[in-house]
Amino acid sequence: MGKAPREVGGFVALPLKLQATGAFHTEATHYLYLKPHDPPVPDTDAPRSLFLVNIPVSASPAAIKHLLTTQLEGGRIEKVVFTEDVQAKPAATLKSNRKRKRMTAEELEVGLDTHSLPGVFDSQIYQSGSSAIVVFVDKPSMELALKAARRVAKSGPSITWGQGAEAILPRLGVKRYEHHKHLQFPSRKEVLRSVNGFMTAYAQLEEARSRETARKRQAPDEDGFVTVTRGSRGSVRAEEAKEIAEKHKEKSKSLEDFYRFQMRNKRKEEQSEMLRKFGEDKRRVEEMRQRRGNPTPG
Amino acid sequence: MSVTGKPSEAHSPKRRKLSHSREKSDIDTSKSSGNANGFAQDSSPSGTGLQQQDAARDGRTKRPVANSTTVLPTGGLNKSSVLALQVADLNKEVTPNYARLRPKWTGILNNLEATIKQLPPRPPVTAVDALKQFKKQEIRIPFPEPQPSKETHYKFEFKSPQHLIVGGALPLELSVKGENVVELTAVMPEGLLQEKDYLNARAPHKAAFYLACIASAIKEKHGADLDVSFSYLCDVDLLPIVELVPRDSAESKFTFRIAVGFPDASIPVAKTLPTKNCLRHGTSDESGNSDQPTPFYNSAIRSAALVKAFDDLIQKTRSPAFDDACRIGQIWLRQRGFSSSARSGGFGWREWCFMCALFLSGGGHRGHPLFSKQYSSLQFFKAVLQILAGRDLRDPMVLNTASLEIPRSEYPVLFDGKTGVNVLYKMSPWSYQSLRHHAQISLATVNSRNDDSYDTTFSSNVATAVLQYDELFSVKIPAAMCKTATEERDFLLRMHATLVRGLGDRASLVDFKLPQRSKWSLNQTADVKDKGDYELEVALLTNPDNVGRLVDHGPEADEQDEAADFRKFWGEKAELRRFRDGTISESLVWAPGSPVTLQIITYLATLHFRLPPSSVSAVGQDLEVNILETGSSMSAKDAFRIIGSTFQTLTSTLHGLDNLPLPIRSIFPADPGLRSSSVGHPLLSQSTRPLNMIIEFESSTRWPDSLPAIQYTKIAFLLKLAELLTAKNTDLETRVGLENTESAVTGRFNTSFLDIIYPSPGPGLSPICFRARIHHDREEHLLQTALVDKSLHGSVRDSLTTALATHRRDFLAQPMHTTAIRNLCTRFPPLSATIRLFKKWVSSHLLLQHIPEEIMEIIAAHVHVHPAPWSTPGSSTTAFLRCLHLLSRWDWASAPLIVDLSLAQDMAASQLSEITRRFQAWRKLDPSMNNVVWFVGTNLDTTGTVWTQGSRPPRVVAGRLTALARAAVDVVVRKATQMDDSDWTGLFTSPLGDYDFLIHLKPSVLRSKAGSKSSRSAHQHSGSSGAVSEFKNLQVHETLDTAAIGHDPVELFVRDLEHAFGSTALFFHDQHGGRVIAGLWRPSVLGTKEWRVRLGWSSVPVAGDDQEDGKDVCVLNKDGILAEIAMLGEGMVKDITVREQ
Repeated sequence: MGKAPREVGGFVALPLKLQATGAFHTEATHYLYLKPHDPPVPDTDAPRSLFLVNIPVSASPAAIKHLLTTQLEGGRIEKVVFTEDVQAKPAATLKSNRKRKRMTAEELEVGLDTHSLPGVFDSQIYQSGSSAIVVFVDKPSMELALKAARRVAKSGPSITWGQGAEAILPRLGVKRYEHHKHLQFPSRKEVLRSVNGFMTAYAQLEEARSRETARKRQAPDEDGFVTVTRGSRGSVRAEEAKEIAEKHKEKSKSLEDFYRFQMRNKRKEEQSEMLRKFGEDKRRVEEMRQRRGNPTPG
Repeated sequence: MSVTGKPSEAHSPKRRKLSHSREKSDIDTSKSSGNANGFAQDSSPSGTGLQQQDAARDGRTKRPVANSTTVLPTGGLNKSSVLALQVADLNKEVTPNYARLRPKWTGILNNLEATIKQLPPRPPVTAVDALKQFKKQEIRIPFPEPQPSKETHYKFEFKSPQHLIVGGALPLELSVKGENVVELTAVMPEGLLQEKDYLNARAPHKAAFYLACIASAIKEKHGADLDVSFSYLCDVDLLPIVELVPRDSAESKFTFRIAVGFPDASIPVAKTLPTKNCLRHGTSDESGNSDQPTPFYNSAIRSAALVKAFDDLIQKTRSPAFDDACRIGQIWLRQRGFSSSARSGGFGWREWCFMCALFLSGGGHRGHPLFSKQYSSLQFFKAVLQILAGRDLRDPMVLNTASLEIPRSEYPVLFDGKTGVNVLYKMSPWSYQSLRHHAQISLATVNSRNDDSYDTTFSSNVATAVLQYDELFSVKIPAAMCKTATEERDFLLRMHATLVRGLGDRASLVDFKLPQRSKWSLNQTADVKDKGDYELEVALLTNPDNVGRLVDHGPEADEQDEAADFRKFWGEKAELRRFRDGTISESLVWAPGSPVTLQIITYLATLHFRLPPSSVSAVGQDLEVNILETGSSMSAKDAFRIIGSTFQTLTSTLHGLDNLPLPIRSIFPADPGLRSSSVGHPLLSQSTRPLNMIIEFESSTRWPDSLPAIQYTKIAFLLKLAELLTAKNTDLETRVGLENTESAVTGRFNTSFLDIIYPSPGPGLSPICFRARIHHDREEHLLQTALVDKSLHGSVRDSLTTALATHRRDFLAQPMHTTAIRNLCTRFPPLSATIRLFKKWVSSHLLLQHIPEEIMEIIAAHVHVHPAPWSTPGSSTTAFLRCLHLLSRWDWASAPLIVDLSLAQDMAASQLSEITRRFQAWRKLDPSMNNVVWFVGTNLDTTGTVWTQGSRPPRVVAGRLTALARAAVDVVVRKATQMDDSDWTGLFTSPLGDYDFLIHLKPSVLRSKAGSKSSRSAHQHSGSSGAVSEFKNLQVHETLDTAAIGHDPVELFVRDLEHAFGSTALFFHDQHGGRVIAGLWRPSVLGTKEWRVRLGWSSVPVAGDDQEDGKDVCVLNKDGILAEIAMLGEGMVKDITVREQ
C-alpha cells in the first residue's frame, strides 16, 4: 500500500497505531478523520468544536480526551458528544428554565429524560465508522489539537491509540463481560431509587397535564364557545364504539338469496370466479414450470 | 405425429404378429395417433359438462374429447385444478416420442425375428443329451429348479415358434422416457407340450431348452453386435429369458428380451387355479404335501401362456387417458422403488395396466365395470390408488368367475378368472403392505387441498431408505439357507411372519429389501453370484409410543393355550411374572441401552433361524444418542419434564400470591427450554439458560399511558413480585435484571426482567432459572399510534417499527408458539429430539444466530404434521434427515412455507389464501429480499414474517443453509445405507475454509466445554463422561454459582461485534461449543470506494491511481478492524487468522 494521503475530503486523516496483541500479531493503523465542526445550523459551541469521523469502536470521552489533549498536546476539552448517542435520545436540546416555579408539562416531559436506569455495561461500544463532536474549552485549544493532528498525519504514524492511558480506558474483553454479569443485576436499592425518581417526576407531569387540559377546557375558543371534552381516556372508548358500529352493520345486512335474480347473479359470479381461478391455476403451473425447467421427477 | 400417410405395415407399433396370427388391424389403424402431443391445449374451460357428455355419447371415436378434461376445471370452486394441470404437464414430459424411437429398435427386432423364424427344428433329446449338446456351444440351459436329471423321462425338442409377439412397454407405447425395453415372446408350438406338462415344472423346463436353442442361434448370428446373456423375466425364476443389449453405443439404450411363451391351451386355467397343487414331488411324498397349493408357480406359468391374451386385453381397453394414467402410474411407482420385477415389489406397469384393464371390464357390483372409460388420467390414477389403498387384497378379490373360493393368506390376490392368473402373484406380503401404505398416503395427498401434492406424489424420490424408514437393519444369511428360489421365498416368508409377530405394535410396517439379481452370461448358472452371504435389509416404520418399551406383557398365566404358544414363540426369553396390578402373565424383558428392536430381531433370528447374533446389525446411526447425548445421568427428556413441572409449581405459586397491586391474569411459557426444544441439556451447568416466561396482569386504568412510564412501572411490579416470592418460599432466589437500558428514555423496548431461581433438582444438575417479563397490552397500541405520525424522522420510525415487531414477536407470538410446539411434542414423541438435532446441525454450521429458532421448530413440526410422501416419522434421526430434505427442496425465493401447527389440523382456507397473498405482496414490495427472505406462515401467524422479518436469516445465510442441506441430502441419498460413522459426523462438521477470517477463542472462556467435545462425536463417550467425572468438586462448585446462569461472555462478545462491525462483516459462531467465530466481509464494503463522512465502516484513505475527478478514495481497513476486534476480545481471543488470498 502506498503512502496514505494526509487529507481526505477536507478532513485530516490522523493515523493511529493499534497495538499488536497476542491475538493479532500484525501492527495495524487506524485512521481518524478530523475537521473543525461546521454544522448546517450553527450553534454557539460550533467554532470551538472538532468533528471526528471513524472513531475507534472502543472510544470513550476519556479516551478521546487522552488522545487530543495528552497525546496530541491540544487544548482542554469541555465535552465529547457521540453521534450515535444523540440519535438514541432525540430532542434533548431544550433547556429548562429554572426560574419559573411551576413547570409546564412539556418541560416536565423533557425533565423525565434525565432519569435513567443504571447502565448494564461499563462503557459503550460504538459502531465502526461512526462520528463524534469534541467541544473544546475555547477555539485556540481546538486549533492546537488540529495543528498537532496535521503534523502527525504528515510525519507518519507515531501515536498509539490508548497508550499511556490504560488506567482510564474502558475495560474490554473478559473484564467487560465479567463486570456486566454484576451490572446487569443492580441492587434493589439502586433500582428502586431510579424507579421512584422517575415515577415522582411522572406523577408531576401527569398532574401538570391534567391542569393544562382543565384550563384548556375552560378557555373559550375564538367563537366564544367552550368545548366540552372528556378525560384522557377517550381513545379506548373510541375503539369500543368502532367495534359496536361494525357489529351493528353486520346485522343490518338484508337477505341475500331471496329473489331469483340474486340467486342467478350469485351463480354467475361463482362461475366467473371458477374461470378466474382456473386461469390463475394455469398461470401458476406455467410459472412453476418456468422455475423448475421441467417437471420431470429427479 | 400422425398415422396418416404411412405404409400400412409400418404403423403396427403395438404388436407385430407373425405367421398365422389373426389380423386385428381394425384397432391398429385407428388408434395411437399422437399420444405424445395429443393434448388439446387450447381447451377452453367453458361448457365442461356438456362436452364431456357428448363425447361419451358418440362413443366410438378413438380420440375422445374427454381427453382434454385433464385440463378442465372440475370439482367446482373448492378444488384447484393445479394438480390436473401439473399431471398433464408431467405426462407430456415423460412421454417419449415413440414415432422417432420406433425405427431405431425395429431394425434389430426384425433381424432377431428373422433369425428365430429360420431356426431349424431339433429332434427330441433327453435332458442329459440336451445339456451335453449345449455344453459344446458353451451354453448352460437355464433350467429352473429342480434341475432335470437322468431320471427325467420326457424329451426336449425345438420347432419353429407358433408365433412371435412383440410386447413390452415401449412397443405398446406405454413406456416412460428412459425405459426402453422391447420384449419378444416366442410362443412354443402346441405340439411341443404334452397334456400334463403344466405339472412339476415340466413346461418351464421345456421352455428353458427352447430358449437355449434360440440363444445359441442368436449368439452365433448376432453375437458380434449384441451382448447376449440370460436373465429372469421379472425375477421370476421359472421364466428365464435372453437379454440382449446392443454393443453399438447409439442403440445401447435399448434392451431386448426374448422370452418363451406357452400356447394358451396347454396350460389349462382349471388346473392352475391358485388353490391347486402343481408341484408334486414324486409318488413317495406323503399325501399332505400334494394338497399344498402352489399359487406362485401356477400363476407364473399361466402368465407365460397369457402373453397374447394380455396384449389383446390391453388393446381392447386402452384409451389416451388410460395410457397417460399408465405412464404417471409408472412414475409414481418408480419414485417408490416399485417395478414389475419380483425383487422390487412385483408391481409395475404391467400389473398397473392389467388392473386397469380388468376393472374397465368388470370388478364392480354384479360384474359391472368398476372404472369408467370416461375417466381422465388423473381419475384413473386415483381409482387405482383407491383400489390399492382401500381394499385389503389379502382377502382375495376374484373377478370373472363365480365358483372360486380362495382362502385368505399373507399374499395379496387379485385373481382374474378369465385369464386364470393372479395379477399380484409376484408381490410378497411386505411389498404389498408397503405398496398399500404408499397408496394410502398418496391418495390422501392428492385428495387434500395442499398445494404441494404434486411434488410429494410425483416428483420426490420416496424410496430413499434412510428418509423413508425409521429403523434399518441388515441381516446376513448364509447362502446355504436359501439355495433355490422356492427355498428363498419360503425362508423370507417365515422370517417376515416371525418378525411381524415379534415386533408387534412396535412397528407398523416391516419391509424387506432383497439384494438385486443381475443377468448372467450364457455359460454360467443363475445363482453363481449368490454364493456367500446373502444380505437382507429389514426396514421398519416404528410406532414411537411403543418402540422403546422394555417390558412386554404376554398372555395371562391362566390362558393356557395362548401362554404355551407364546412360550414356544419366544423360547427362553418368555418369563412368567407377577405385575404390580396383581396379574400374573407371560412377559418379556429387554435390556435398556441398546435399541429394543435390534434386540428382538437378533433374538428371533437366533432362535428361529439359527443365525449367529452377529449377523444382525443396525444400519445407520441413532443421531439422538450420538450427537445430542451429553453423558449426564439424566436424559434430556426427563430434564424437560422436571422443568415443566417446576414451571407448573411456579405458576401456581405466582397465582397464589396475595397483596399484589394487581392480580395476575395469566402466565405463559415463552422459551425453547419450556417446549423441549433447546439444543443443550437444559439442566447441565454448561448449557443451562434462563427460561423465559411472560406474566400478564389484569388490566387496570391505573397503568400510566406512556411507554417509559410503563417500563418503570414494570420494574416496580417485578420488585414487588420478587419481594413477595422470597417471603413465601425462602428456597427461591430472585433478582431483578435490566436490559435495553439505552432505550429506557423512550421506553420502546422492554427494560426489565425478574429471575426466579429454583435450587438444583439433583446432584450434578444446575439450578432452574426462570426469567419473567411483564406483558402489558397497551404497549402495542402506543407503539402503533406513535407510528401513525407521518412526520416521523427516519431513524425514529425505524426504531419504532423494530420495537413493534419485537414486542409482537416476544410477547404475542412467542407464547402462542411455545404452547403449540409443546402440544406437538406431546403428540409426536420424536419431535423434541428432531428439533434439537436440527438446531444442532444448523449450529454446527455456525448459522444458528442468524436463523430464528422458531423457524427450525416449525420446519421440524412440518415434517411431523405433513409427512407426505412418507408417513409420520417414528425416529428423530429420520425426521431430522427429512428436515434437511425439506430444506434442500424449499425454493424460498418463490414459495412460502405454510404449516398448520394445530393438533386438529383445521387451518381455515381463508388463512391459507391470506398467507399466499401476503407472500406475493412481500415479494412485490421487497423483490431483492433485503427484509424478508424466508416467509413462513402458520395458523398462528398469517403475516408469515413474525420470526423472519429484519432479514432473519439474511439472504446469503439462507442460500448457504440450502446449499448445506442439499449437500447433506446428497450424501445421504448417494450413500444410503452405506453411510459409515465418519459420514454421519461429517454432516455435523462445517468447513471453515470459506470464511475471510477466523477468530479463535481461548478454551477457558467457552461456556460449554463438555459440549464441544461431544459434538465431535466419534470419541465423545469416553471424552465427555471423563471430563464430567474428573472434576467432581469443580462441577458442584459450578452448579452452585447462580450468578453465572445465562452468562456467556462469548455470546456477549459476538453481540458487541455485530453491533460494532455489523455493517462491515457477517459473523458466524456455534453457540454450542464452537471455538471459532468466523467472519465474512460484506461484499458492499470491498474494493475501492469514494470516501464519505457516513461510510459506516473503518477505512484507509488511498491515493487514487487515476485521479479522474479528484474524488478521495479509500478501502476497507481490514487490519485495523481485526486489531480492534482483538482489542474488544481482550483475554478471550487466542488468535485471529486471515484467509490466504
